[in-house]
Amino acid sequence: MTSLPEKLIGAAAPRPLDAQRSKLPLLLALVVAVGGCVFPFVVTSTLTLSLLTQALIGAMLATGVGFLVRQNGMVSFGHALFYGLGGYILGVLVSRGIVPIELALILAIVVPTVLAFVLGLVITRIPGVAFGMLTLACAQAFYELALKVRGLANGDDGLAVTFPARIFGVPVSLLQDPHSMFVICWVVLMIALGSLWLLMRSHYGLLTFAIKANEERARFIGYETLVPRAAIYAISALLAATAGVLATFYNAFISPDMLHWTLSGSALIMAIIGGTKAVWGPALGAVVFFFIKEIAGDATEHWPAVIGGILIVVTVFVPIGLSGLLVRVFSGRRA
Amino acid sequence: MSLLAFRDVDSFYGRAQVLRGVSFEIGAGERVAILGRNGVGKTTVVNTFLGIASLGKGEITLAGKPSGRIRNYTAARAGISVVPQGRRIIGALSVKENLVLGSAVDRKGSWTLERVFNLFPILRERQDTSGTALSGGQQQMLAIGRALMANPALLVLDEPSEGLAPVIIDELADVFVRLAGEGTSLLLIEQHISLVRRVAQTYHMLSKGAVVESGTLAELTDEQLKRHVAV
Repeated sequence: MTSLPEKLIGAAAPRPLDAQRSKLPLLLALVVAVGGCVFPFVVTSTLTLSLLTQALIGAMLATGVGFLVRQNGMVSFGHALFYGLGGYILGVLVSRGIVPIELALILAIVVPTVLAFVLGLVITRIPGVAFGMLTLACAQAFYELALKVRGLANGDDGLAVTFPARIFGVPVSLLQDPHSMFVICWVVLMIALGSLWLLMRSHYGLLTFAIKANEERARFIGYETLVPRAAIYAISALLAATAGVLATFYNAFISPDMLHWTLSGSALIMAIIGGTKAVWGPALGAVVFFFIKEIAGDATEHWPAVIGGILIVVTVFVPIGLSGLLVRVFSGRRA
Repeated sequence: MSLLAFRDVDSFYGRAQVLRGVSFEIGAGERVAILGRNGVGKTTVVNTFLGIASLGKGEITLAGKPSGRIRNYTAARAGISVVPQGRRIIGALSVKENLVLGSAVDRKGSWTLERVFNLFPILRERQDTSGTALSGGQQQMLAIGRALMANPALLVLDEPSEGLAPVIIDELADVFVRLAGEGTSLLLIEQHISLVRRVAQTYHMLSKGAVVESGTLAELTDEQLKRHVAV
């Protein structure tokens, strides 16, 4: 069998899925991952570390939202549901002494993930804006529940969570100290990003990307497409629930604000600012978001307007987000 | 055992009926062509067993079994791979990734990535290129390679010559003949008669959604072609 004539071969086009296959970005990621662990030994300001710790928790939530956009092409306006649910399950179970803290931690991550998978089997069938509105409706339903049912966690007042001294033999106080909590959040975020990176390059990652690109074609090839979409939704919820658990440990406080749509909106803004093409984009967006919020908040009470302005600038001039811009600059491609 | 059989099939897009009492059968090792002018329902034959057009009256059997409720992936899991009209390459994925995705159905067979690359060496050379950055002929090879990765018992080719230069059509015809020689059953939906004459053994002529003539390609006369295919 002969191949087609060489004259028919066109010019090579760049690969569509990022330019992250060389070893340099991997090495850089390793340096950043290790560097983050020594960061608290360099920066001694408790205020800065506390802010960064909150930023890392926000980064985990934003990573979940961004992963859903990247793999499923779906925009969630209700990821606070899983963030808040994780926090509430941990906080309520531990405060009321219903189960040991270790089991409460596992349930706080597993229950929102399973809920998201079951919910995903229904709502990921629905494309576009309707999907976003459904996620918003689900989250607001839980918000109202947390607000109205005072017996759950004091309604609007919230609940101060009293933790036992140790979890898995580790002092819980480590989870409330900015120096140690920064490292814990950093390690958890790095594990999450590494796992997502591997998932994206697996057969399953390819499949979900193909479903996003052309669902009908993926079905004709022989794939069932609903379960993979629900699974991606569940994975993104797992990240959000993990963020909620970390926030509850760090703040030792839960309130309906953890379930409010404004938190979902903030996570989406972080993902947009950072960009969703690279797996670490939303996390970068979260860190930028927190610092802009802090700096603008010191200058004016109208800091949301500053965030809004930046969102408009990014959306119009850098639709690929900051991570997309960085990838292009460092890979030498046209920005 | 028939790999694909239509028995008195009516099919619809919404309320609009397209196929009317269509019957035909493809057995192992057979090469069958469905002919007809544009708009007579050739692609609807494919769309019906893919679950895009809805089955009204009649029965479809896939790999010898009644299809039951047809879902989009039913045919693929019954060993029928479709190379669709317009190729439908997933542009967000590379050539290699498109091929790997083709192995969705866990069917035993000799088709591997390496063997597809041997059949179409240009795909090996351009394996890291975006699927839609290929030329039309290369995209058709990719679509065929992706279908072969499922180790199909029946390969369905919907207008494979569409938009391709004659030299490419000749090359593809060589590939189809080679596949047929290796025992792969083929269903060819095509208007390019010289391609059909090289590849297929038998034909079914569609007109207004119904099979109006059937026979061997050797029996098919120019007069019949003029009446049913030529515009």
